[in-house]
Amino acid sequence: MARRRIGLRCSTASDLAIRKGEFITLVGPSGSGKSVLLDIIGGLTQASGGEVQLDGKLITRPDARTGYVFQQYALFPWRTALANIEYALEVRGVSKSERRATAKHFLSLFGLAGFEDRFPNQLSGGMQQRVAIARALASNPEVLLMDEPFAALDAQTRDILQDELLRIWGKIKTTVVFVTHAIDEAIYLADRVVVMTARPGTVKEIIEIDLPRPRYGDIRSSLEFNGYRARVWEALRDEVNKAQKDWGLSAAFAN
Amino acid sequence: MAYLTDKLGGAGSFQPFTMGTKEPAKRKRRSAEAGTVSYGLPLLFSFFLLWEIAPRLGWLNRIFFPPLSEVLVAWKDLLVSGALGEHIGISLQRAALGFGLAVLVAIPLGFLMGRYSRFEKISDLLVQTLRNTSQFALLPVFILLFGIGEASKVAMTFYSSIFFLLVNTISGVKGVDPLLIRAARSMGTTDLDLFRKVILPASIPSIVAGARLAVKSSIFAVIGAEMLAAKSGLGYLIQQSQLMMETADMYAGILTLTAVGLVVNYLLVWFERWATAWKDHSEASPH
Repeated sequence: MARRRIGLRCSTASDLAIRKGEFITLVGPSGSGKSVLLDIIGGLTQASGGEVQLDGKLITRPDARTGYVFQQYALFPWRTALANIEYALEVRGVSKSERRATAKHFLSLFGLAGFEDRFPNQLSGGMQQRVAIARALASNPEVLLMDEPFAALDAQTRDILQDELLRIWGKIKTTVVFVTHAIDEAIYLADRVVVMTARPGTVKEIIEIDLPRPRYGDIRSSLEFNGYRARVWEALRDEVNKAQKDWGLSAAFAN
Repeated sequence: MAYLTDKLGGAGSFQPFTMGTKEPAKRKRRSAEAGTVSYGLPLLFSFFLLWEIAPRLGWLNRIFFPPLSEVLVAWKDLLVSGALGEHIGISLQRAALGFGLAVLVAIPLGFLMGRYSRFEKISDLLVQTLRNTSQFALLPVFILLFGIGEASKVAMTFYSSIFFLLVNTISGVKGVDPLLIRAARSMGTTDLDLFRKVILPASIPSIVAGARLAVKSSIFAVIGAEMLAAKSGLGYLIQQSQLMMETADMYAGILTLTAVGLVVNYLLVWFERWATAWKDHSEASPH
């Protein structure tokens, strides 16, 4: 497979080339612009300088080839679970029968068959986020952007959804850029962990995670995992301290 | 009437209009409503009973206050003759026409004013000025402009309902969760689809709440207009009967108006529940 590249220049020193099908996690102190970077890749925000390219094409507005998952689910409360997923296809002009079939497929992929007609406020947080991820994936994006998607969920649900995400990503092999605060989550999911600096947000270090896939929860207590945890924390610590000095923030890294 | 114009009178910022009913615990409210009705019946019956006996016992002047039974007989006669149906029909038609036109104007205008702050800045003062001008004060103007016929009544009902719709559309549009707009944009939603598929459905609860008040207001307004200048309609019936001292007919008209108001309100409550059904599904949340 050709290695297509997403060229990414966030601010002056932040160059990041993401390989196709790669799972990238972004960690950094609060205010390092992780979410802004995601918005720029998604075409929701204009970069003040630099550019984002997808397959060599400049991104200036939302591109049909990217899907976006937000921390707060962002489901349309007046649409059922199925109709929420259909929306992504509806605005892209997919025919009614086709989008219904696709939406059903993605709903069952996330173990939500039977919940088609539920409105979002009839679903638990974990289920809502599953629907939101299904919605982002339904249009078959080349890049899936996830902005702390599991941060609002309880620890157990988060673990379950991490595994589900990996399982589904293993099937469809889309490129994922995943922003998180949690170091464990970043390592567990990623091919490469990108550590961002405090303001200005630039790429400080890129850590290749060479853990075998498929990964299971117990890998977190392995020796290698501990090693990666130490490395990421090492890279992050100075930046967190800097950010705390800058912002007078209390520790943002409970994990 | 006064409380409506008072409500319109709030200066400055756009506060959405709501009626007594609030969102939470709809299920509970429904049973509470049924309870209130059965609790309230004795007092209502006492009122009707008093209406029946007070004129008969001479506590009230029978010419001004005929007993309820006589009013009901007059009401039956009006109904059988077909006159009542005609008056109801013409009043409702005028109210509906004005209200319908108001919907057509207010919703697109409210979208523009809610979405584009520059547009709102430009038009806000004019809207505030207009909505603080009583529709009854303007009836003579409407008659000058549109003549004594139907058009001036429709203008009245239009004027008296548009601001409820406009203000609630603006507040609905402004209240759309920005995250939903971001999500929609991230999926490549066009501007037109953003209005149709996101902003409109998200503002529906607010718009419908405004519509409930607008419909009531347009019915009040048509009655007023008919009392002042018309040859048909419920307002005309009531006013004319009073002038002719046919007080039984007058009360029959008033009771009819009350009944129409109750039915319309019930329909509107039903419509509001139907249009915002997705909000009412919060009780079941599995694991």
